[in-house]
Order: sequence, then C-alpha cells, then structure tokens
Amino acid sequence: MTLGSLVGFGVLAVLLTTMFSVASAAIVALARERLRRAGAAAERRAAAWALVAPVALAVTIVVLLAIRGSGSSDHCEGHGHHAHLCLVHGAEWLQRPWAVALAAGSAITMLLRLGVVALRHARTKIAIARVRKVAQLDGDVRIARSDRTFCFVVGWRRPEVFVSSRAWEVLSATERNAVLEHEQAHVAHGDLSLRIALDLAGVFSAPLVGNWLREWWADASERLCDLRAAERTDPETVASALVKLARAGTPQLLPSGFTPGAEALDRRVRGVLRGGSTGESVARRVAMLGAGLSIGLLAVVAAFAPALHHALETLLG
Amino acid sequence: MTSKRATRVLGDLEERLMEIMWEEHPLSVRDVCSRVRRTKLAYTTVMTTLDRLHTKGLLARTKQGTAFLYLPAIDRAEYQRRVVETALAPMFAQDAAPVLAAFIDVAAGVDEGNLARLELLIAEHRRRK
Repeated sequence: MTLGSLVGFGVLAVLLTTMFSVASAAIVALARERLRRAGAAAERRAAAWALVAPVALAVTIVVLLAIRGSGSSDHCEGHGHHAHLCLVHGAEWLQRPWAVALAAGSAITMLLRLGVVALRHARTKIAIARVRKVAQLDGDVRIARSDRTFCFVVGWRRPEVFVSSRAWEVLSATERNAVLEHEQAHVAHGDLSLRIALDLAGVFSAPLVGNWLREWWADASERLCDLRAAERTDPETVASALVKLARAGTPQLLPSGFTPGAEALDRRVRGVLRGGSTGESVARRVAMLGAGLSIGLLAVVAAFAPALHHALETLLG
Repeated sequence: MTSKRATRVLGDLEERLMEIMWEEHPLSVRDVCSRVRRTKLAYTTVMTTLDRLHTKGLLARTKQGTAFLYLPAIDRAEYQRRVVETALAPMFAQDAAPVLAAFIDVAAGVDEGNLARLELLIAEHRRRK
C-alpha cells in the first residue's frame, strides 16, 4: 500500500462517513416525534443506530471496495484518465492538494477528538478513584460527603453507585430505593459500556451530529431508567425523588449533560408520571429496520463494487 | 490556612497518619511513631510525612521546646468534603463524563415556582390512585 492510496481511501472514508452520518441523523430527526411517542427505548435505539451505523458502514464499504477493486485482476488497465483508488496504484492522490488536505485535516481532527474523549475518560477515572477513597460504603452504595446533590453509577466492568451525603439526607427510604433502581437500570441496559462506544463513534461522525445524537441518547436513557425504576417502585416516588434532589441542589452550577436543567427535569418528571410504554417493541423494529437498511446498502455495494469503485474514482479523481 | 493541595487525596502513609491525628491530638513525631510502631517506620519518615501534611495545610503545629506538636487543621468530614468537591467539580461544570450515568445532579435554573408545580402534579397523581 502506498501513501497515495492511503490518502485516496482516507478521502473516501471521510466522505462516506460524513454523508452517512448526515443522512442517518436526518432520518432519525424526521422520525423524532414518532419515536418520542413510541417511547424512550425506541429513541435510544434510533440515536445509537444513527451514531454507530455510519461509521461501521463507511469502514465496511471502504474495505469492500479496496478488496473488490484491488483484487487479483488489474482493474486499473481500463481507465487511465483519473487517479486510481486502489492499494497498488494510488500514488497519484498525493498530487491532489485538496485530497491530501482533506485526508490530513480529517485525520488531525479525529485524533484531536479522540484525544479529548480519552482525556475526559482518564480525568473521570482519576476523579472517581479520589472520591472512592473517601466515600463511605453503605451496602452497595458509596456515600460521598458533599453539599451537592448527585447520584451516579460508574465503571463498566464493576459498576458502583455513588451518592452524595446531601442527596441521601433529603430522600426518604422509598425514594432512595427508586434512585438505586434507576442506577441499576443503567447497569442492566449496559449503558456504561455503550456510552464509551457511542463516544468513540461520535469521534468519526460529522461535526455537530455526533454531539446531538449522544445528547439525545443520554436524555432518552435517563427517561427509560426513570420508567424502569417506576416499574419496580412507583412513578410518584421516582418523580418525587427527582424534584427533591433538584430542590436540594446548589443553584450556582451551570447546566450540562450531567446536570439537567429546568426543561429536562420537567420532561423527566412528567414522563415518569405519564408512564406508558417504554417503546421496546418499536425499539426492536427500529433495530431491525436499521440492520435491514445497513445490510441492504452493503449488499448493493457488494453486488456493484467494481462499477461503484470506478464511479467513485471518476467522481473523486 | 488550608492550601488547595490539602484537598488532594493522600497517600497511604499520609492517610494513616491523618487517621491517628484525627483520633488523638496534639501529638509529637515521637508520639506518632509509637502509634505506628508495628510497621517499623523510621522516625525521619514520620517526621517528613507530618511536615508534608503541615505544608499541605492538613496539620497545624506548635513548637514545644525543641519538638513540634501536630494537630489536624481540618476535621475528617471537612477533608472528605473537599476531596469530593475538588474531584467532581470539573465534571459537574463541564460535559457529562463518559463512564457516568447520572440520576440527577443539580437542576440548574429550576425555579421554585416550577418545582412547586411539579410537586402539585405528583400530589395530584398520588390522590388519583
């Protein structure tokens, strides 16, 4: 493989990922209201599909085209009018400044985004290790002495629940149970490892699309876990715990994904009280539809790989 | 004055010495040595560690003759509170951390009127049951 061919396939991967990423985001955005009515599980599944599928599809298609287009037969003989998108004859891509700039720019951006994700992950691990050291173990819960009100589950291999002493004080026994059920639901759904996977997928997504989809996924996940907790306790207890924690919170903090603002709180409280379907059956249909779409696209690419390969070469070269 | 470094998590030995100090104070280096005798710590090691804890703002000291008497500058609860605050504050202020799934933290911007409305709604739901 030459450096030129790496640039050529890099350009192709970037263009395909961006195109699929925007297309999948547009599809789920159009279906958002319907998904919202169906339930949080359906929203979650759709957001996750829109994040992961473009990256997986783009990589598979690039590999497929590289194999089919650069296999045993020399496909390059037939067209000498443009740069060859193959592993053997790709040197010409280096002579196209726009291709080199796009490939290099995208590689640097992705490395930077990957670095940010890795840094955030590392900083969180260090912070949690510090809190763990001073937190008191109460059953399965680690109580951290703090005037803030927080409760979270952390760790994808050995999940642990951390609650602030302030949060624990303001909640009744049944509300505490509801909070723990909510956290257990995150563990049962595999949210902690999923979140890492989605963060990584977001690195390769089109700008802004990744953030939007991850926020949507996180918001739907919280609402789904509220409903799961309500199934095991009751909706009013979950809602009441949310309001109590909000009331006991320190108001000087800024809202973020970790700290839901007024609108998010309102949505969660009303959502859990309203109850209804979590949207599991729609989520299954979404998964099947997503898989069908992805497999269908791959099948088309596989069937017309040489022609598609040539078309892409003509378009890009 | 407690320096910012005081809120860092302590090493194992520092933590052990702080535990001793929180249990009983004031203590001289020799007193502390006698309480950690089982692990055969050198006098100089204890002295250096206590001095470091003093520099970090976790211990206060007064001179008695030629020796220093050490005592905690903050209590255990306050120390734990500061460690948690220092560790988690950046995560609360910035973006959601990748390995966390939160039930809720602070509902910033949630006004009292909105909370009261939500409480009424919950009460209404309870009554209807």
